[in-house]
Amino acid sequence: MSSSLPGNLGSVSTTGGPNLQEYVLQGTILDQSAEALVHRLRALCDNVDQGLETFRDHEMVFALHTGGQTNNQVMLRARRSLDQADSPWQLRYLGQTDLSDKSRAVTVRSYLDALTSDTLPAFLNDIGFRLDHEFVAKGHMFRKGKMKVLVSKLFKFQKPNDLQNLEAMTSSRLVELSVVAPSGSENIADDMKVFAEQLKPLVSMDKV
Amino acid sequence: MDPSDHTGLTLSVESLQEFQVQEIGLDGQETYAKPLSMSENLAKLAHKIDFSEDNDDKKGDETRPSTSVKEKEEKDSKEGVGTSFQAQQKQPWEAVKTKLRDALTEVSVLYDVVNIARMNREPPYQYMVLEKVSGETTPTTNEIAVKLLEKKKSLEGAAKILHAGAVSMKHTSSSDKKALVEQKNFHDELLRLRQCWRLKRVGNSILGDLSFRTSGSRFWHSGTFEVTKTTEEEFEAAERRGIQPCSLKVTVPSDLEGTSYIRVLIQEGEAEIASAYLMHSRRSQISLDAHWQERLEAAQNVLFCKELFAQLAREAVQLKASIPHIVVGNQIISSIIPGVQLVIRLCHDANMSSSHDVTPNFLQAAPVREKNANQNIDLEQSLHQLLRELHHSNLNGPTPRPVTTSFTFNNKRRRLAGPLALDRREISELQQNECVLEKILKQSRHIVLRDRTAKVLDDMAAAIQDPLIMVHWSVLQQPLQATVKVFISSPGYEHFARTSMQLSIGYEDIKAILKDGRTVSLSYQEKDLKNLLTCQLSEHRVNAVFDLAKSLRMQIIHYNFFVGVGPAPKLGNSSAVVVATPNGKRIIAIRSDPVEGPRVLIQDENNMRDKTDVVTDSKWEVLPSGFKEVDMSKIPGRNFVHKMDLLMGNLAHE
Repeated sequence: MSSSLPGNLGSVSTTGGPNLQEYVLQGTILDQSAEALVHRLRALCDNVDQGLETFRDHEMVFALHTGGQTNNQVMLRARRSLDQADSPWQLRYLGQTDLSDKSRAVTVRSYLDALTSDTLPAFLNDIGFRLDHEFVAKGHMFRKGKMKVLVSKLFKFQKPNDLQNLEAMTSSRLVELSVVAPSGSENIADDMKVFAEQLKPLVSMDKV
Repeated sequence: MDPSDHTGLTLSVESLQEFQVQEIGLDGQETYAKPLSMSENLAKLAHKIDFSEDNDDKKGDETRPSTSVKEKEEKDSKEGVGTSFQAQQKQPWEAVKTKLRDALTEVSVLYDVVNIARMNREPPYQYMVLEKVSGETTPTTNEIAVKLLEKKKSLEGAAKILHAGAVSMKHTSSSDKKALVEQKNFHDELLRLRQCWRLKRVGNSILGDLSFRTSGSRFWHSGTFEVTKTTEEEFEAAERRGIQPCSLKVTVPSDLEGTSYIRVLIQEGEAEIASAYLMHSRRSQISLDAHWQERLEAAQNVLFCKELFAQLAREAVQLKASIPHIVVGNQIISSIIPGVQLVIRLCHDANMSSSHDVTPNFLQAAPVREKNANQNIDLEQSLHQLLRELHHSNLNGPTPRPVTTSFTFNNKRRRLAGPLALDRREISELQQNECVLEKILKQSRHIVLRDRTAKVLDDMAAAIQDPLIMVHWSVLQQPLQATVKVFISSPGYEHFARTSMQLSIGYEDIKAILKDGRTVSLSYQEKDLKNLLTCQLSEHRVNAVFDLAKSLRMQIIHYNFFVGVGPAPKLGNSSAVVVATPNGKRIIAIRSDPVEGPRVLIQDENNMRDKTDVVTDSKWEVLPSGFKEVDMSKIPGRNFVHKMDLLMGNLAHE
């Protein structure tokens, strides 16, 4: 396996589909203020007719070391919903941030995903990936057109596979504004920036 | 020196040293200071002037007037030398200073005079007035005349100014007030407008949004309208025409002006079965002078209709049907069942009459509406609902699980398609989404079926009195489902036989659930239901007689709904029942043919047999012979079951 795999993998296009990219803006907000943000988002977003959409997801990040250097590794993310037991697992690959255009207001990274059955972690183990870290994200999901806003609190496991005893990682929440779109759709970034502006006093969203 | 004395003594005359000696060197050489230039000299002199001194002197004089003369003299004598020296020193500026002081004095005096002249007209006098000593001069009549003239002139001037001021105030107050009121009204109206409509400010103009974009519409039309202030001329023009003027004016895009509605017709040949108007009769005509709220609502309705029609037309073109849908201009024609068409028409009345005389058009339309007074409003409502549902689904999808998956998988099964390894056919099934046109077609098909069913049931209930057909429509109906219960009974004998049947009307067929649990599926053709009902009526008769016979303790010999013997009926099956009187003497046979009606036969008694010794048992005494038909029309009774009741009663007691 060549050492340039992470880069290569990012440029692999899914067969038949366009080359997808994820446009991301991130920010954090303290737990105390999270409620205000949720209120703000309820006013701005679309899917608020039937109450708030909550979620509880478990994400496992697997890494495959591809060379002698420690930082040269491929990361794959396996994620499942804890709310709906029968929902599929999702395998996600997030590429490295595209730094070609410094003027861009949002993070752009290549994105590949697939929905799989529940044997995904075992399969990843079998092909040489090792669990790097895992966490549980709880929070709310909002949508505004193509944009998805996740306000989530991250928890870590105290004991492996023990979903009952979770420990909060920080006293703040992660706010993530993301759009998955074919590469080259630039006006998305502007839309996202405009939306992020509207959350400004509460949370400052920026590229990572 | 004496000029006359020429003794030859020469005296050298040397002019005095003009320049000051600055220093004398060790060798005796004198270094002279350079003479001052003109400007340097001026500066030097100016430096010597003590400006404050003079003031101080003055102040001192004023503040200390009581200083003794002696003291002053002493002081003066003391300072005598100094002052003279200073006077010499100040020489070049003295004149200037004096002149300035004089000027100041004069100005001060002038100021005082002016003040006295201005303020001292009325007592209490603040200033002393210098008056001519009375008696010295007497005012001449000429002077009085001049004074009078003067006063008159000044009064006139003052009056003119006051008048001009009053006029201008009067003018400005009225126009200002109006402008102010207008301004206030405008802001009030704007506030009210903002409560109902989305507004934003672009540059100097205020733009509003009529579109349904925020509720999920993806229609191309921006639906922008402009809000402006009514100009004064327009305001006045409105007042002149006797219309309540409004300080706020909305400008709606020209293609959204007027009124429009969507007309849905179900046509069978040329006749209309059902039609629905998607319109507000109150706003059947909107004038330019109407209130902005009405105008905006009408414009939004136009936009909605346009979007709805555009959506339907697009679907009509895309949908593949056995009989293709036709889209011509503002009309979509699609066939729902053979011979019946659904016509969806976008009617737009762009005519915006600016006056109030909109009634003629309105009245013309009224009779048409009255004719359709019993139109059903299902289609109208569902058209509204369907588009709104579409809007809603554009905005609200199910939450993807896990949340990081994309929104494109709007269906949970679709998300599971990969993990569950669904095949191509299953996935294509998942992806089939019903569009608005399909839904409306289904609904109209249902309406046609429902109306036909109702018509058949009503006709038959009216035509057939014996037995009675009772129809109970369920009050709660769904767009695609209606249920109706049909009861067949004979008056007076309801507790005996009661045949019930439930019809559930869908959009493709009618399901009839019969009393015995059989389910019959009927097509859209009226004949099917008619036939089914006819058969049910025939069965009901036999059934009623059967129940009656049982209650009269008759012996049931034979009871069958599907008689296999005898002439085959033209429709369905003949049913028959054969009963014997309790004493066994008589046998009654009833055969009911769905088309021919019931036939009642009574076994004839034949006592022709002679008594023999061989056959002694009394039961052989009466041997039945053939059956004879009863002419039911000759038997009294309200209905068939009543007649049978009488007949059986008679025979039983023979």
